[in-house]
Amino acid sequence: MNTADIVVIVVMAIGLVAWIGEPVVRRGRMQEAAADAHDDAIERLILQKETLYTAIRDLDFDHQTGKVDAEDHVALRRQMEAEAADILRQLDLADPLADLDLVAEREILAYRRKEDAASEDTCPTCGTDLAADATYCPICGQLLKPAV
Amino acid sequence: MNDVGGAALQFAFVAALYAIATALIGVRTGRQELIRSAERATFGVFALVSVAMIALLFAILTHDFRVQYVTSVSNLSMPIFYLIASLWGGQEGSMLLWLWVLTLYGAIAVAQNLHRNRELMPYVVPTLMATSILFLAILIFAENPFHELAQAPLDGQGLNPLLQNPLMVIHPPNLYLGFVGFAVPFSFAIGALASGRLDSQWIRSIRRWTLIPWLFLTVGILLGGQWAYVELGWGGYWAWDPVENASLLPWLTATAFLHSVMIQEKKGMLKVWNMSLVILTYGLSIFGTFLTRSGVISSVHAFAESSLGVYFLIYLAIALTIAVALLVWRLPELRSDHRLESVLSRESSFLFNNLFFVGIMFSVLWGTMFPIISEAVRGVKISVAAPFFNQVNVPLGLALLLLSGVCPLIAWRRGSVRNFQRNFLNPLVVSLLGVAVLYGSGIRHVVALISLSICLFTFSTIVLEFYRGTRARRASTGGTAWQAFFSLMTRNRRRYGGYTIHFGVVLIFVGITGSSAYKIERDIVLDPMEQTTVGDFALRYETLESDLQPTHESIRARVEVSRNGRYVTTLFPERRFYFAQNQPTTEVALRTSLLEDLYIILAGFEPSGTATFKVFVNPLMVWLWLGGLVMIIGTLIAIWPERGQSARIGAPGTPTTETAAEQG
Repeated sequence: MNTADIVVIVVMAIGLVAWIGEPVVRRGRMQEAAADAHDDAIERLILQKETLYTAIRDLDFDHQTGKVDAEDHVALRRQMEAEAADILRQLDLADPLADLDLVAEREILAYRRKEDAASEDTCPTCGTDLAADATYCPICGQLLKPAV
Repeated sequence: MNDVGGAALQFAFVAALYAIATALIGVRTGRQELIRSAERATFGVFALVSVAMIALLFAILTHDFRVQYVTSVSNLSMPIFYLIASLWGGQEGSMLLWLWVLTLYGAIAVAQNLHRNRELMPYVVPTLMATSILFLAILIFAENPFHELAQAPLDGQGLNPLLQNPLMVIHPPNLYLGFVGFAVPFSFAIGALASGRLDSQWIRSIRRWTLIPWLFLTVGILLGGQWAYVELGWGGYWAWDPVENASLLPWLTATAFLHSVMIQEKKGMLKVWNMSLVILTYGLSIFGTFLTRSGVISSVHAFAESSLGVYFLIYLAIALTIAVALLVWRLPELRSDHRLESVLSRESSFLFNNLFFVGIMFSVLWGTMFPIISEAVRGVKISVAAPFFNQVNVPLGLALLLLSGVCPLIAWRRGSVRNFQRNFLNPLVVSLLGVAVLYGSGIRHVVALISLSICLFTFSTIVLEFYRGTRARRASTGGTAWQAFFSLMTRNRRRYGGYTIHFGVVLIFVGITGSSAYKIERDIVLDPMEQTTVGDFALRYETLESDLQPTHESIRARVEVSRNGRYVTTLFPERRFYFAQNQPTTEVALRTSLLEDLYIILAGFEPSGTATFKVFVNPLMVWLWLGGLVMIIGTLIAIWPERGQSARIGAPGTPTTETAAEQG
């Protein structure tokens, strides 16, 4: 073994020990970990929300491409919306500011619900309550007035 | 440098052991700094193994023939391209490359999760490191790449000439990137089982981690087939050789997993099944390495036989025992969130898909293991030949292809019979018409007719899916059909990437059907200037030419090819004799067109000039490789990161229900 090799090996060993040992010597990272765990919980909820949103999108798409009947579509969509609302509530409890977009979306949702309730029109195909100015049914997609 | 390389491997071994111990102690005692230290050790292991790689490459490039490995795989006359390839051209080097890829994957996985999946990581790190320790132990105690000879020879033996092919340079790293990659999903599965975080979070974290190794494995298998086709000179691309099977086994379970994982993501079902598939895929990757590297079954690939088997088998036994024990322990918590709602649903078609994939896997495993089992039980090594594999797997494969056509037509949860009929009518008509046309044009091969009709059926369902999707998209967003098509693809890359992959699979089946059902194989002996016909081709053997190169001598025949009296091309089937390895090789002469491949091998020749040829006409062969290309493109579409990760859908009432035009 020549001297250069020995030097490289020694440097490698010292570097390795310093690199691995540094966190143990410094410690004091407990708070960071606790914060991470909290973030994990919220991230999990957001993921669940996104999964459901994707599922709803897929359901709508399956309906549009003729794989799901209007009847099934309404029933399944209602069920998924209920699940989504439940997750949004949990997210709200976990951290009201976790996802500002989410808050905005919820408000829009609530507003539309109110609007829907106020209107007396119903869809001729599936019977869903409709907003007064609806162009087509939000549930089954039935065209109500000619699109502009 | 050799001592540095050796020392780096030993340090890596110690660091990997340290990472396992500190991560587990850290999670028991709740001391986060220990877990951080363990994570740093995984980066350290990667850096050290990289040093070993560089040291070995240095030894090869500087022709350090004191190193036994360098002597066995390289020599002074090899070009630099193959010198670099000889880094993984032999046993020790390929194990080192394997280990390096593993530690690279491990380091990336840890780096991605420094602030995520914190509960899983204390188990992910030890699992990754345990796999590294297997390879480190082999490299340190059994197959040291830096082992020095007592006396250095003047020149090395050089790389096996069969491996001196550009395809062979990229084929092994591809397979390794595939095989090894499954260690990451496995370690996350173990992390989920051990920590008890069994929701779909870990599944999402490894989504790309499964697709990327799957892509590499797919490419690796295709490159291997292509190499066998152009280099081994027996006219085929797949021989059910044990080592080919070894790469196919984890591919089959990984493909099953890629499908079934969608059901867990969407429905929270099949959790135990998915866990089992991940464990099985990892187990089969290690088992595949064992088959390739231990020389347990002699095959064209077993270039180096060795006694590594024990290491692999012990490791495999321990790893699988721990994984299965964890799985059984968590069984009560792995119950499904939902039940299967209808037999006629996409979920159930996925279940069938999985059963077929696993069925093929077991049949291939059984056929591969049979020689070993028969030798152990009856003392006679009985090889299972291609007919066994074909008889079992052709029907299963065709059933899978049919499913890939049927499945997208059925809705999630519940398909109605009416919709089912409506969706099926057109593809069914297309495939029946297609079969009628094929039958009319004189094709009578029953299996080929069945296969091609399924190909047509699946192809038309894919076209229909794209067409309907584009139409629905255009109805909502307007614009040209192309814009709608593009936005459809970008909005749901996984779905349409998946369909693209299915289209590639259809092409591959077309290629396999043509080249196996209508293959022409002829042995012919010709004198110079004599002519013969094979299929539609007229072949005229003109003369033999010889050529002396520094590494080899080559003899090649000049064959003029014509069809219907018109000149097509001149081919040069060739035999080479490599001096250093004392080994003859065949260089195939190949003419490829979209309709068929003409494939000529110079089998032998006499001093008089009389030559023996083996000639193949392989119809539709090129579609197999084109299909592979399409599969790669499809996978890239699916892997490509989505812009704006969070999937936004409108609340009821916003224009996401974009059916106005279609309904009205």
